[in-house]
Amino acid sequence: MEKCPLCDTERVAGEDLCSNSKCGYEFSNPTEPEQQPEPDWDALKPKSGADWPESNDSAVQPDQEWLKEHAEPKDTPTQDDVTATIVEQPEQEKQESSNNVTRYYIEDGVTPVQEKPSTNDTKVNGQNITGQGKIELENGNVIELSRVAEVTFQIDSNGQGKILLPNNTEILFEDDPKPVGRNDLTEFLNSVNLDPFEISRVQFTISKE
Amino acid sequence: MRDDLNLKLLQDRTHVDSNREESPVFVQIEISPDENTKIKQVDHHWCLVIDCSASMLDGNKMEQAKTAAINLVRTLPSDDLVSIVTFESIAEEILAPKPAFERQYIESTINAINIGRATDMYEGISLAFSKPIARVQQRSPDVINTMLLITDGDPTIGKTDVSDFVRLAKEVRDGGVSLDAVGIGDEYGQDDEHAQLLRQVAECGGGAWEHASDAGQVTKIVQTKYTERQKTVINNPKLQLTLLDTAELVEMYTVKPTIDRVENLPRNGNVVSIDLKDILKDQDQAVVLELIIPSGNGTNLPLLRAAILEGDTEVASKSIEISYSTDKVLCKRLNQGVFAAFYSMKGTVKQRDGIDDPDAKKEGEKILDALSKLDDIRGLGQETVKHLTKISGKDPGTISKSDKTKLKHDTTFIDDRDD
Repeated sequence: MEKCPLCDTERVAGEDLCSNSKCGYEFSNPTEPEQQPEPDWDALKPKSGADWPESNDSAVQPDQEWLKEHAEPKDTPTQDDVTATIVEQPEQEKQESSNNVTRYYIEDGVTPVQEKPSTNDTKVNGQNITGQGKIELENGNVIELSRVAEVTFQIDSNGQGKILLPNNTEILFEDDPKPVGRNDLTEFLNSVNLDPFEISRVQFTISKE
Repeated sequence: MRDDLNLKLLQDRTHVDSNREESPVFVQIEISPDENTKIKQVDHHWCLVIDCSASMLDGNKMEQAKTAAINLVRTLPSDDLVSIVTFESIAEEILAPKPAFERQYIESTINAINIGRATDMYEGISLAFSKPIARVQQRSPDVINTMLLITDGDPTIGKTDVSDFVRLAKEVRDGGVSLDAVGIGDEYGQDDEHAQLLRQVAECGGGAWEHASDAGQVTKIVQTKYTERQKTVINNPKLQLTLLDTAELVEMYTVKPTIDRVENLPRNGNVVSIDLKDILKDQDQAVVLELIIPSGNGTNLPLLRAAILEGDTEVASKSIEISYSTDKVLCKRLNQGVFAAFYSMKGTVKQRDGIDDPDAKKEGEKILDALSKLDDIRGLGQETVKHLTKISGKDPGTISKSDKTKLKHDTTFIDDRDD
């Protein structure tokens, strides 16, 4: 059983956060998969008249191919049955599904007047992205806005991208961009009930595809 | 409200599990003056509390302390005030508050300081507070008072209990004074009881403990103190935290300018108020804390409101919110840096205690091991983990007395300089 490296509390299966309420350690790896139960060999009795295959070693399990052929149908599917029921997506559907995943990008702006990369020091996870073109955003990325504020980019369970401001105001990415510049950024961040927007011009641009 | 003071609140997660009995939330509060921040244009009073016990004769310590005091007087603007209290077997106010333009008189008083015998440090601090500082506060309430204790040893007579010193230092701080302590050489803080005395006195006094491994460093330390204090933005500020009614504040650490665990959190209902150090123009302040939130429902609940108070006036405030959810993805930690900053402070304090206590050192090392398993630590968290790693590399059992004191001092602040 995995233990919390901070407080030694045993990890609860399926939980990332340590169950000790004051600890707060969050395991980065998923919990170990539950062990597959041993097959119920009795339930896999051969059809009447069929004999177990011969084996020189009594510890060796019956050959799986042989069992598939001779075992009675059962209510509980075995691992092999589950695997067998998986239907592969048609190629076209798979393509469409993949296309439906919205990807979000961030790019440091280009000043319209000077036509050169801005020096806004926009950072993603601490890395300055000036002059690096479009960078794909990932869930949980922290964006530092021109040293003015730090916001967190999040993709919710519906795949919708949004920005979490320090006061938890959420900004959704939709259509009709709203330009926001350096001077009004603080005001913008403090405002509520925002329209769909795109931060652009001298700051940076967040777009989706 | 001041618009020249940046107050920033970061939280490690924005959602907690509605069904979990208790969920931890970690919060980081940063206060950073910027280039536009206005400095308080008021006079300063420097009260020097100088140890003149017999040991100050060794290693030229007394002469260096005098040189540091004289250099300070020569640097001060004419209207700033200076007073001096010395302590050995007795404490004495040898210079009542004088304006710095009376330099000749002040310097001759400093040069006339004689060496005595024992170390009645408590009486020295107490006298400085009750006489020269009290007098200045009565006559000129706007003056910023700084008490600067210079010593090379532990108290030997009079009150020697750490608890008495802590009480006195808090009284000094509550009186609006900052108490800085400069320790010289490697003789102080060596017995178990006084191992952290100067640090505790300075922390409770709203100042910082500085260590001069040799007496020649005292002048530089005092000059640095002077430069910092001239840039005072807010004197004697308080940080007031208003918590969500159901939240519990479990633990809190100061990260900048000095590292310490905030003890005995004073709480009135859901409001917690703590003393901050004076806010100085070129000095960021940061604290980290852990809150426990019980199970519940609702979105955008007011988790924490932080306000900086100057006297009774609120000069800056910021709020953060929390939402309940059953979506485990939403409840995941979004800012690992905040969590790491909290635990690296806890680890640093353990490592500090671990210099004299092997069990505490083990706990500090365990925290560092756990933090090293985490990815994606940025911001203050990255800085504090780096600091914890640095101080954890030394084994207190194998280093000299002098290096031990230096290591202890290194655990009190984050050194931004590269090695």
